[in-house]
Amino acid sequence: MRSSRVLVRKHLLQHWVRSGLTVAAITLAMFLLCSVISIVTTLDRAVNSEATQRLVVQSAVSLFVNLPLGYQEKIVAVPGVEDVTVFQWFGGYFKEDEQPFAQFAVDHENFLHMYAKDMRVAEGPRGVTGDSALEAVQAAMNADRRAAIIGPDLARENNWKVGDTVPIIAKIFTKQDRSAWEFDIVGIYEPLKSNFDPRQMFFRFDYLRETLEAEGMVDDMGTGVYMVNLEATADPGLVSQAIDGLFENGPQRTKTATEAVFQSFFIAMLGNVPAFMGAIGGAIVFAVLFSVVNTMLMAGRQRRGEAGILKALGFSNACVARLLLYESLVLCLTGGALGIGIAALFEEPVRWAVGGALPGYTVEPSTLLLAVGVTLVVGVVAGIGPALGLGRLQPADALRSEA
Amino acid sequence: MLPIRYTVRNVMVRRSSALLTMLGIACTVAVFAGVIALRDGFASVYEPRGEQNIAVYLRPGASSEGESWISRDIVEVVMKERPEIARAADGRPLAAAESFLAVYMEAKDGDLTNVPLRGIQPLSLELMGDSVRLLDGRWFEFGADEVVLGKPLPGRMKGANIGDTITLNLTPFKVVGVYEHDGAQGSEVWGDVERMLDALDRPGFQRVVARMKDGTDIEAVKESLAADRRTTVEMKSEREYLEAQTSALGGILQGLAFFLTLVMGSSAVLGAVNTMLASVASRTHEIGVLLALGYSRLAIFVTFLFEAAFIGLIGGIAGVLLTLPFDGLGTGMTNFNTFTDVSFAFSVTPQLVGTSFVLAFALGLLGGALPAWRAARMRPVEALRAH
Repeated sequence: MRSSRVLVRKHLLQHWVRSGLTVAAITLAMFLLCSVISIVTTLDRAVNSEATQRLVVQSAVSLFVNLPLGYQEKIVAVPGVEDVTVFQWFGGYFKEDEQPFAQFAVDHENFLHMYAKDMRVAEGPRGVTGDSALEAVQAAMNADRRAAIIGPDLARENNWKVGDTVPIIAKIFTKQDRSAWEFDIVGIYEPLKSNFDPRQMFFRFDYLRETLEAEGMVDDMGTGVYMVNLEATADPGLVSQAIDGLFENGPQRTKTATEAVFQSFFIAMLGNVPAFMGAIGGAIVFAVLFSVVNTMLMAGRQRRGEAGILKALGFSNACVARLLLYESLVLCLTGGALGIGIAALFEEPVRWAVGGALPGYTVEPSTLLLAVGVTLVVGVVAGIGPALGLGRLQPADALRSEA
Repeated sequence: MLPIRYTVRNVMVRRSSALLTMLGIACTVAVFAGVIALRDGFASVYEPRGEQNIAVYLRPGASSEGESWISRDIVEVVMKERPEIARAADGRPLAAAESFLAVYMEAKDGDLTNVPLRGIQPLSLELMGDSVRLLDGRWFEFGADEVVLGKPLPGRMKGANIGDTITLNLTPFKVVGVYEHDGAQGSEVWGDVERMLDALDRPGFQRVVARMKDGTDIEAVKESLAADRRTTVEMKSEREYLEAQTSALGGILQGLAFFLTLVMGSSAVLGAVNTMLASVASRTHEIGVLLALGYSRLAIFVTFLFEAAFIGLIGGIAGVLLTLPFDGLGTGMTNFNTFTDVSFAFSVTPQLVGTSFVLAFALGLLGGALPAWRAARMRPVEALRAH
């Protein structure tokens, strides 16, 4: 056993250029494979871990049709409903060429409370942190009409701090004089769920409504959706039906679904993306398999004379074959470990780079395990052919090939 | 210079190794070509066709129709007063106000999909000219609760055949026909704009399209609109407008192709280096002979480089062949600029085939450079000594 370890190491080091190149190729491929799988799992997870005790009420016609504000008190009165907030997409940007981020107008009185399981208020005005931050931010939200709370990544990217006033340029709610909207940052939140986007901004709905009314842009303001928190014992299905029943005859019919289903709709919009990613992953695995098979065939050819010597010395066929298989496995596992390690280490920078396009990019442990499995399979498949070839070789033939 | 036959024969002698390297390069090229074919197919939907003097008016700041909103008053002012809009013989402006909304429809696989619903005026069809045709049924009647559907919709959506009813909030609309449009508006639902605004209780239009007078200076029009406080609209040529609609998804696909090609390509190059190093090592004696015969170092370098590029090119051809069956394969994705579902097909263009070959050739060259340099630097006497 020990001798085989020495032999494998010597062989690999003797052809260090080839070994190094092969390991590097496997490293790149496994890093890429992990990244591609992580894109798909991140998309999936956005759906699966979403709260089912929250409902989203939206228009049955279109995501872009607003619901009347009068719906709110009717929804609150439905049995099983704990709390309701308006939730209006603002659709603005800070700098045009940057990654877009989401801004939502919400009911400032109850929003922080309703989202206590999704996010934690990490920092409030005048450097308040810890448990008292929530109270401080709530007080600031109540006091300042332009108050807004932002995610940690957004704060870091733009170097925004609590106390800053930030201009956001509207694409939908353009003011008459085309000037930017101004928001005062009163707090920074910290996501409590990995799929809660850390690049959002929440601000007061009444600021939006009053400004638009003052601008004479709307006569009956609505909200894109209502977010509805349910009581712990409520049945989401029954409450959804009850809400939709209220508005069956208009003025706007509604379609109520759990937040999970609502999210899954956004994933469904990606169409065949998961299938495309699967095809790409397959191509990556095959490409690296070809590369390792090539290396092992070369190694097998060079090892013929030596195999003859080993056999003549009395080593079994199986033992000689195993040596080459080990070599293949060592190459693959080294490269695989490096590639998988890089994928795990680079999780944070990649999440940073993809930003809003794929919030909460995460490399799951199961993805890493899968990559380890793929590496092992590649190692065995690539090594087995040349290894069997060496095992079957007659010692005399093998020795002759040395010359 | 060594003959090409020499290179081809060398590759044939070491065919298993060369083949595996080719396949590695083929995988890389196939992934690159596949993703770019997807992007090209998507972008081709937004390529402007026909006449190019169409103007699109949106609310200032809006980058797509979904974000735009233009009141009836402003629509009237624009149509009546903008000097760049062409007029028919009877003096009426060649312009149409349209509504646009992404509405929910259920796809055949059960997923909810955002389908563009467009309310149009009689002049909308006139402005589109030859690019639009009726395929089946009849056109909807203006004033009636009727719609026509784009060609891909009956196949992809539930309840979207002629005779079916599509309910918009509370008003049922009857499907009476199927149209075909060579361009971005091929997978939409069309009806009378007034009926749509009424059924959906929408306050205004989303855009005005108009034919411009010949020789209109678009930049000058933009400036005059920006200075005009009464008509709060922005104007783009249809070409500019359509180009802006592909930025998000097109950008993502391009970025993906670049990233995948960079990493997979590097991996493939490493494999090619391995193959070529082995090829050089096993021919050390031969290289000694060639040098002794008087072949220049440059000739040796070029020969081995060419061998690698040859392997790369064959790999490229294999990669493109892998992608070709996808050409024309239909798919659908959401355009993140308009937030609606777009039907399009993979498009393997001759240009993409060319780019793929160049990529494969380059991968081969990169893989061959170091081994070829090693071969060229050999000292004849030592090389001859190798067996």
